Amino acid sequence: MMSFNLRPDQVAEELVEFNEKLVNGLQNMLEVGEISEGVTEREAVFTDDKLTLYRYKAPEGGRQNKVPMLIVYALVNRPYMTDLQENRSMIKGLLDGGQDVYLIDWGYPDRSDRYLTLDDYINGYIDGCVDYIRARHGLDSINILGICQGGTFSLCYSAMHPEKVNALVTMVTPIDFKTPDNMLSHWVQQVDIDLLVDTLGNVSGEMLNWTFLNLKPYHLTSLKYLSMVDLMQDVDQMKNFMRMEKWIFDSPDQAGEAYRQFIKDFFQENKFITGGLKIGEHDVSLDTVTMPVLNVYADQDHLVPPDASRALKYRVGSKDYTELSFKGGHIGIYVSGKAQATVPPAISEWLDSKS
Amino acid sequence: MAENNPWLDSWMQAQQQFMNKWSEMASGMTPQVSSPANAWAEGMEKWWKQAAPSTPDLPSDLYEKLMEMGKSFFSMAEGYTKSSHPMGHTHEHLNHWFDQMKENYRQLHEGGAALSEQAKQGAKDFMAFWEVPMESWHKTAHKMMPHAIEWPSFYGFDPQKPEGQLFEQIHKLLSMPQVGYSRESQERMQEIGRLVLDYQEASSEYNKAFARVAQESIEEFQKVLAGIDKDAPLEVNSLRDLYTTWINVCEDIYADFAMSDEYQSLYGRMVNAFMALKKESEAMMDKQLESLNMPSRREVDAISEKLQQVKRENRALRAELAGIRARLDDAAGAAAAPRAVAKKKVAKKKVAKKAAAKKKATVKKKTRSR
Repeated sequence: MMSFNLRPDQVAEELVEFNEKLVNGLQNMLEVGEISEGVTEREAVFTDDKLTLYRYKAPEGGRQNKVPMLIVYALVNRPYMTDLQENRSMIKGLLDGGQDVYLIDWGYPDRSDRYLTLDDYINGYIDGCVDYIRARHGLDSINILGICQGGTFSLCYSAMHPEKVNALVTMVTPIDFKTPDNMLSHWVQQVDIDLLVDTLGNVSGEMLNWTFLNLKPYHLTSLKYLSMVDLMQDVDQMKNFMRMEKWIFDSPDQAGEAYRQFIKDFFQENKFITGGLKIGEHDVSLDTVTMPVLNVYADQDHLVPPDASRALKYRVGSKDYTELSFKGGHIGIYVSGKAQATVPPAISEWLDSKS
Repeated sequence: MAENNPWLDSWMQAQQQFMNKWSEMASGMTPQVSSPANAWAEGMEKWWKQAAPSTPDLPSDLYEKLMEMGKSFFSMAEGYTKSSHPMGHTHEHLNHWFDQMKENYRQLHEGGAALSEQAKQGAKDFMAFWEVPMESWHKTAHKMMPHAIEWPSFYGFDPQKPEGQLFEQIHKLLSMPQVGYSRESQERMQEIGRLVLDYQEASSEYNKAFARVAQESIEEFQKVLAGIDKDAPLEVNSLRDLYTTWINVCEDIYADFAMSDEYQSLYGRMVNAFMALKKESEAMMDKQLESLNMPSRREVDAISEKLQQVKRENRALRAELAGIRARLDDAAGAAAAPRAVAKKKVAKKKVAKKAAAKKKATVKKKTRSR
């Protein structure tokens, strides 16, 4: 006979406790107030269409790397994940490590941006930001840190303009898009992307949310909200939860043509690996990424599996290639306490050694 | 915190109602009219309606997610407590409850009639989260349709059954050749009809596969629970433990399914069928807008494309202009300043000059990549 250590009266008690927590938590929610986007002081130094380039204020009196770094974030989701709150800020960690930090905020594309291509993003917007920073600092080349899809863009940029990149850091960046554990890639193989973009124009953030949620639908819905009832008892923890919740569902629409090329060239045809990648007029090969490269990946990443990132080792042209593995997931690498203590300091130390 | 809140009275009433129902069920003395899980949900709903007007800042979708999760959690508690009858035989009762749910999903999978409404509702609450991928797809798809059309639901549709034969007849009707001056618009309507059916078939196949995988999840959960009984590798000391185990089992089964060739094909077919339908519907909408002398999406897109091309040309021209200015400044600087100072300026402006020259070479002919 089955024997659980669980009597009906215990179950009833647990439900009453759950109910009380839920109601208290809903009331605590009212005290959360507005959820901020980013905490570190920064200045908008350059704009181009909907793009804004920010420079973060360095701590007073600290030593600063003479070569500034540009953070290139993904087009999906918003870059304030890197500066979520006071004690969870990769940006703050990099500033504390002596880096002069610039960040691209892509803004929210609307339907007038439907015809933006990867060439516009990489050889237009990114190149414009790089040139602005180079001119401002009187340097031939700067450091670039690309995150996730922004890492893929940064690799393309570095391959096309190696003379402008002093050192490249890629974080949770997919290179091999067809590793056997890549669920996103698996799903999209039989989707007619031309039909999809011709039909939708821009691809809505809501559709992306649906896709990402379905990677782990039961943990990311039911179990997450069950755990939330516990967190709701503390206003500060609730705020942390709500910040993350806001970020997760803050998904800009994707410019149609850029989405078309990204999904076809990378997810479906895996051109970093198979070759034949062309951005605008440039043939793009990782062979021409010759500057020092630091590749940071998360060993429990469900979005960008570690093997998808580690593939860079065997493809990159650089003779100076280093890997940094983080024990955590795709999001934890920016926000967990362990990540705060290890990842930004390691990046800063590596960049200092290359500048 | 709750002590000083005006919602307290209504919440206390809801709690009382819930606990009364729970006591009735746990004692097994009173026939159930409404289940405790329903009583909880109804009580919370009533309480929330009173509380909501004074909580404009609380996101209602978050509340709804919490309620959905709560219903599922309470349904499990209900199922478990019903199974833990004082007369014993918990294992058999629990398995019977799971078997009922499996039967419900089996019938949905096979396109037959589902179980009684009560059994269906119990399974629906408990398994609500199982339908997250399908439900959220339908919501997303619905919002994307131009007319926000509620397409008829053919959940459980099976081409081999009588209703499937009806679809076959509709397919034939939609393939009839059209004649006359309105031939073109009739053919377009026929095409939309065919695409609706195609999408319904694809989405039905997707739903049915999920119903089958839901059965597999329940079977796996039963195996895990049997394992707890035999070897005690896991301890279930709370309802929360039981629920977490259940979610983990579902996630594992789902992950295997989502990485299968079958899922890739079902997913691709459903998304493609939806996009084909949406595209044709929008073309029809564009025709209507043009007939009203209104700008159509096609026309606005054409303007956007031209605008983007003009922006690219502007960017190239700006870069070229910056290069010319840099060269002029260099020349002027070299002529006016002592040689050593001029040299410094050249070094400083070298960066901008290089950038401009590079852009000039690369941005001349930008074409869309497809």
